[in-house]
Amino acid sequence: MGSLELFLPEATVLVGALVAFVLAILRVPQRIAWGAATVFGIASVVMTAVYLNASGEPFFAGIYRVDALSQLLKLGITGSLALTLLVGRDLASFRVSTRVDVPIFLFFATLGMMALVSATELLTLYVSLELSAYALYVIAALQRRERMGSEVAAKYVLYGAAASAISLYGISLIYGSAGSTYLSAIMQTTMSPVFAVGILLALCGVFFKLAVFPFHAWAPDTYEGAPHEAVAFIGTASKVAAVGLLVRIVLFAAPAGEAITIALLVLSVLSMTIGNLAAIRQHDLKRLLAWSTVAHAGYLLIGLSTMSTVGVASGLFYVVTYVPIVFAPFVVVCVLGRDGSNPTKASIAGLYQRSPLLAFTLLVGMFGLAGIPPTAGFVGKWFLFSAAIEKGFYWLVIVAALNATVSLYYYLLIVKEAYLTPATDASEVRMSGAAQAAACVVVVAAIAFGSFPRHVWEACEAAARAAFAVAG
Amino acid sequence: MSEYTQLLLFVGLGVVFGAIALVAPLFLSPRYKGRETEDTYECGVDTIGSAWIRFGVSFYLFALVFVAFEVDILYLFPVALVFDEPAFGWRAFVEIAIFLVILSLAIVYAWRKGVIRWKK
Repeated sequence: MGSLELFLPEATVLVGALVAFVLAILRVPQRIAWGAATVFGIASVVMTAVYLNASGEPFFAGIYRVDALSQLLKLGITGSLALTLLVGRDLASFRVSTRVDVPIFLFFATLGMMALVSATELLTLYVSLELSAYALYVIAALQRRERMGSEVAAKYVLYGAAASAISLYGISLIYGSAGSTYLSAIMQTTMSPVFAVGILLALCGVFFKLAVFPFHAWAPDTYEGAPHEAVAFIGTASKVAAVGLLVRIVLFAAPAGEAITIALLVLSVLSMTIGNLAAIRQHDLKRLLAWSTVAHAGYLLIGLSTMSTVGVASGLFYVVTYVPIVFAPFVVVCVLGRDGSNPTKASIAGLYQRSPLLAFTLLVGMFGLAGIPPTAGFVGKWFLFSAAIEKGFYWLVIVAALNATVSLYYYLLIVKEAYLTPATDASEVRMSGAAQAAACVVVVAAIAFGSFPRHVWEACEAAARAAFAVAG
Repeated sequence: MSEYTQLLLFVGLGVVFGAIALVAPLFLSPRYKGRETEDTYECGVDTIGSAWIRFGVSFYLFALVFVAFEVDILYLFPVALVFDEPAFGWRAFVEIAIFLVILSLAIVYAWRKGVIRWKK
């Protein structure tokens, strides 16, 4: 048994969940429950930052590992939680009777994801995956419009359950061929077709979370129909956790290296092409973000398919900086969608007249997603592409660059609507202080990570090296 | 025979096995229709009256809470087996107590949310 102290960041989230639970059953006013939850959300970010450089194993040897990789991703996950709580004061798109319960599920989902990026044993990994998934299924269903909520939740749960079942089958094949559920032992197995098939099937669960083609079908409907804050959380924290899992599995799957690389390359090209082409046609902002997620999952896979330290580090850099970038449009969605409706291209027209801060947040988000300097999106793509060139994947970089150009069109169209089209309804958009704070944080983070990427990049490199060190 | 061929063979066998189970009844099952065929089947007991009656939705919530609690009782059995061994004893007791407290939270939640109150 190692030092339990290493578990403090997770413990903060767990205590937050229990406090949220007690407040919910005491039926306190929603505003108080929100305040307490936000305090714990921010505390968990601080706690994770304090233990950023920690490493060791808090529990039995070999099942749970705290290292540079897990701590960096936990920072991304708790950051998403804190941002979601900051914009989620009103929870306007949630059913009124359920609003007080939402923080409980957010905390449990966060806890599951934090355990997920630390888990180094297949069963621990699977249990953490399900803990985060169940909490997300619940909050996706709490849409104010009940019929729509049931529909999107059913789609999300069914796809999720199917992906999870395939994953479990893959895990059983891995166990069958390796004879152990510890990743360190799996690492030592000799390559066999059953093992490669097992790894590929196990990865299906990750692909579902990342919304990689062909596991993307849930994303557009769930993003469109689930409550705003739930989507903001699913769209950020869940991706970070999935990348952590992906890095662990891909590295431990080294015996099956070649087959995995080919699969990742094919999925990467398909995801970014299909995601970008489908996003062009979208008018609903949340639906557009869903397809953009599919495309970005494709970019991410470029880094991991190289299986090099630089490639993994660039993948990590991309997903960590992706959190503030993609959260920016979600701030807009949460603030504008206060009546429970989804913002569309039409409803954001002339946003700069109605709220300069909100319009600027949207601008930074869209620039970041499109990869325009000085945002972190540009540097992230730069790192990914250079990692791929280093490995000689020239055609992959060409496809990705073409895709980035296509995506410019629809991202900039949003910016054009917000800045150049005059507003039809010129009333001022009111933002709560917390939402303003969240907007400022994501704007500053997106630009700072892009202008001064050195520290984040070094952290990502350290994380990648840590991941490789465990994998031997 | 390469290992991939073996794998393919297994996948093929899996498909054939599934297909047989679907196709065989088409040829083997007796074909006649009577009053009994259309009857509602519930554990082999004849139904009394129509199955399409309305009943309180509270039954459903009760059943959910009950199932959630009852299934978890399974986890008490392994502890009961090692309970009197000196190596476990108090540790097992404390652990199972924590487990039960966590389970009870679900009941408390359901109770405070008004699930247990009988709605008319």
